[in-house]
Amino acid sequence: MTRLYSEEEVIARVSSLTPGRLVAYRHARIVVPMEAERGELYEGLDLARLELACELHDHYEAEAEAIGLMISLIDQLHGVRAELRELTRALEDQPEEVRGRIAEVIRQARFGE
Amino acid sequence: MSEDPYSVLGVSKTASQDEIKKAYRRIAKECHPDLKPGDAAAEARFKAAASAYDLLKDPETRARFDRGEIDASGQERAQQQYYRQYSEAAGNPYRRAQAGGAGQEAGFEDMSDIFAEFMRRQGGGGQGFGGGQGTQREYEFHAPGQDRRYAMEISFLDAVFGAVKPITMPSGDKLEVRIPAGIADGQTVRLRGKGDPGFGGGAPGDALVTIGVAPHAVFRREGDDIHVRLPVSLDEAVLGGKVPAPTIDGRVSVTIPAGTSSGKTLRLKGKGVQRRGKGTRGDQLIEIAIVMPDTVDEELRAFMEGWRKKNGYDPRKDMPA
Repeated sequence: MTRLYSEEEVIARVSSLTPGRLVAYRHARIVVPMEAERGELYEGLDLARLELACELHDHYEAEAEAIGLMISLIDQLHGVRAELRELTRALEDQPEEVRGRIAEVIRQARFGE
Repeated sequence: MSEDPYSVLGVSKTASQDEIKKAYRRIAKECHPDLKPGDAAAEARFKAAASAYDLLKDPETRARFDRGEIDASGQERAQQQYYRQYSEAAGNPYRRAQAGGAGQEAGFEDMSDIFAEFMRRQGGGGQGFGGGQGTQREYEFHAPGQDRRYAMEISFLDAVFGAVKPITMPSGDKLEVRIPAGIADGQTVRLRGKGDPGFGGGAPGDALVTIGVAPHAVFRREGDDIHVRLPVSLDEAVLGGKVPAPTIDGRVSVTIPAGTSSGKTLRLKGKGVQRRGKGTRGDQLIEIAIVMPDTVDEELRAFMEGWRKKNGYDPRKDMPA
């Protein structure tokens, strides 16, 4: 079953996370714990997010709000990349003629030729 | 990693701890895999720098390395889970279509506007352009409410067949969560508008319920297939025959071919889990496990000894010596 972590476990597992940082990150909604019967819990995704937040904190000496913004941009970038990959995969299965037409439309729109 | 950690970081062997830290941070900034998606060279450089820094950041470990007591490969960093893997997944709860119109229709809310728009126009039954609502109040202040996250544990069979389960909100209100048949462990159900209220007429946020599926004593799930280990007696394995077997729909009778070995797998087509969004189901796979009688009595022993003299065989003949 998907492993969930308490706040103490999260602080112990994420290398440079401190209780103070977690408070700030929660305030900036970098992570939002899940409410559950046994209290507030975090999942693997939250741990990876906190690891990244701490790295950005250390590397750029950035504040929680700025880190939140950076990660939100990363979410958008990575999400769009994943979708684009799916789209490209779907296009590869299309007949040569269809792919050619699409390439032409993109070229026109992007480069106006 | 076997490269010299000093050259990986681009510092001299006499560099101060501070110089080492600075060198590492410079590389980490330039090459972080979450900030440079798809750049394999940057990722390799980042990993090498992280390992090198792990080795050199502690003056004591560094001194031991300098004296040759440990080598660079002894400090291989535990496989780091990059956020990217989560961030790219379709169910990322932190990636929500921005404010208002786009992406609000069933199923596409985690996609970017462009993609959601395309999907809607393909399959959405003539919804036409744009969601609309997003632009009407452009000049008033309004902001959508925050999403709330919940974790809920359900039974194996509730996940297979779907269920309606109540959760209690912090306000004390109960909310019904409709769990679709075939949901997998770790997936999230979105309850639209059940999050925090919006501001200035903005829409309320959503409740995101992450589902944990408890393991089952008999059934195990892999994708849409159900796996079961079925004990059979020695005589059933030798002679074959019909034996009862559990499925998620209840008990069925399966035919064991004569001379079935442990580990042989039988497939029951269509006895698996409902495939999301399709009418079809996965299969059930039954792995045969031959179980000896509680005691091997004199009769069985005498028979086996006689049988072995004439018919002994080597089941390990294909194994390397």
